[in-house]
Amino acid sequence: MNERRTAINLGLTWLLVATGLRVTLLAPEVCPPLSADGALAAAGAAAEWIAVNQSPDGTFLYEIDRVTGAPSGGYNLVRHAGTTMSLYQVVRHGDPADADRLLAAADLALGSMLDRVVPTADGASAWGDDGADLKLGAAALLAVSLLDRRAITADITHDGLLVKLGRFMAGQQLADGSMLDAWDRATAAPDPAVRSRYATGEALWALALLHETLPGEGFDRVAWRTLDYLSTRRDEVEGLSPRPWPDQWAAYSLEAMGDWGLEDHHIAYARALSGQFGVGIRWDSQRSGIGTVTHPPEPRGAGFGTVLEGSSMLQRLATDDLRLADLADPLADRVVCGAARLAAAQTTGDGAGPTEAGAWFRDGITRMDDQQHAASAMLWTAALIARSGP
Amino acid sequence: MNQPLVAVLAVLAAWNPPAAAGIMGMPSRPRLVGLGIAAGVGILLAVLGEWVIDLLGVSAPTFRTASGVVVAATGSAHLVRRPPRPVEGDGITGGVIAGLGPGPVFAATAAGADAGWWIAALCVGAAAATWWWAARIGRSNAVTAWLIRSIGAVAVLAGVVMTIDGASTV
Repeated sequence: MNERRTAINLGLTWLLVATGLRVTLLAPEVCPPLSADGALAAAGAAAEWIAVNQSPDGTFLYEIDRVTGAPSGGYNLVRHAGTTMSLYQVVRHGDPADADRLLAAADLALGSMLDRVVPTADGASAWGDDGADLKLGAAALLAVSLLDRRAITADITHDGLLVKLGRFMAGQQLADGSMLDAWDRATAAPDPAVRSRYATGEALWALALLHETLPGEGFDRVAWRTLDYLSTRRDEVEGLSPRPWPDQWAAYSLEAMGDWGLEDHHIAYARALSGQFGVGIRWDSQRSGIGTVTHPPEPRGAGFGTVLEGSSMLQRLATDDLRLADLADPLADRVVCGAARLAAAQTTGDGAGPTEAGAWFRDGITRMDDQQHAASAMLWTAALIARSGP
Repeated sequence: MNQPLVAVLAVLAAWNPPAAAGIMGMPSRPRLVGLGIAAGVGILLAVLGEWVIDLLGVSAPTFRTASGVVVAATGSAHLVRRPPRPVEGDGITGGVIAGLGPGPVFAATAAGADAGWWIAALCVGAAAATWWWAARIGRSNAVTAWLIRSIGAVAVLAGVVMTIDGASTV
């Protein structure tokens, strides 16, 4: 081959490679600006959506199609507990102007849970609908809600219930640290057949926070067993993928237990989780222009919110633990970038009705946990930006 | 996974000195000038690696992922193709061409960001020197073909490792 033809071949190769990569793997990562105030405003608007669309019985608007205006028929008690928790988080960490109203909404939702608390075993309690099995995740997020409320109001009247919820969660634990998701009312015992990829981490986090607030109940020993399980065996035993399964509740737990003396395998797990979350945020940040086609799917508030929640918690852990120090800055970059993109996707403006303003829609549909997870993520991002300075 | 070591391996393997020597043929003066230009561009990209990545608006792990794909593809080509024949003529193109393909360019830039600019620049210089040396001693078809394929296999391995690492890093 002569020199001219060789040069033309090289040029064509470059054209193909450069163009192909630029619209796929090397699509630019686009990160709009976001201030701490902007993140807090997004969290506040999400909390507003939750509170405005609450029913007098304490339940929230579960899901709605903005095109038809029709709400869906279902409801999920674990998500109810999680959404209540996020309202308390916004009041506690978000400094909203209408804190009293949001607190009242959270208390109303809390009341609907407290009305359904039932004893399960000696000194243990959980909550759920009459006749239905009791869920580990629902108990865990009720416990976290109560802990946030306790921090806001200094009201300790529910401390007895907190201990009972902790005992219920401990009772769902197996010897290897895994957790059973359901408590069967018919057998009055944990159902050995039901596990949840979410509830184990939720319970671990709740147990860790319970130990921080009410030490002496032994919840730390329960938490260590489950953290070991999540760090080393969970994905294989429960057949989860990708591995490690990007579990933001585990990230919350690692952050909560960060000063308990994490071992190297916990740190390795935190590092691997950080990678999963980081890649998710990078992938989404490449969704602009033609990148919207080459980087599917469009994330929903709940899914992307959990990625940001997990990343935020691991960023805090990386700031405090020298073994992860190299991840602190990259994680901070990813969190702020991802949160900025999420904030930009929030429905705002005067034209938005009460079922739209403050919400995140995908394919015209929003569900209450879209607002729950996005609000939490915005709170932690605001704190991160504030810590980092202007 | 030693990220700098993989980046260095990727540079050496993506350049594939015996394959480059095969493309260049006997090193005439213009071809040596071409080799020098290719090495200079490679060193410049190694030095400016982080800046180039910033200019593209991507993060280092994202660039590492893409570079890994390109390096692995380059290695695959060396692995399956017949050993290259010299470019006809005696101009500088025959010297430039082997060092300015996507594989060597992406590897040098990624190494600049991952292993440090001076290590990456040193590697590009070493690859160019080996290329020149291989061109000087000429070719022994059986040995050269074996060497090219072996180095191609190393490039595939390094590229795959880079891609996995880039896709699992924050």
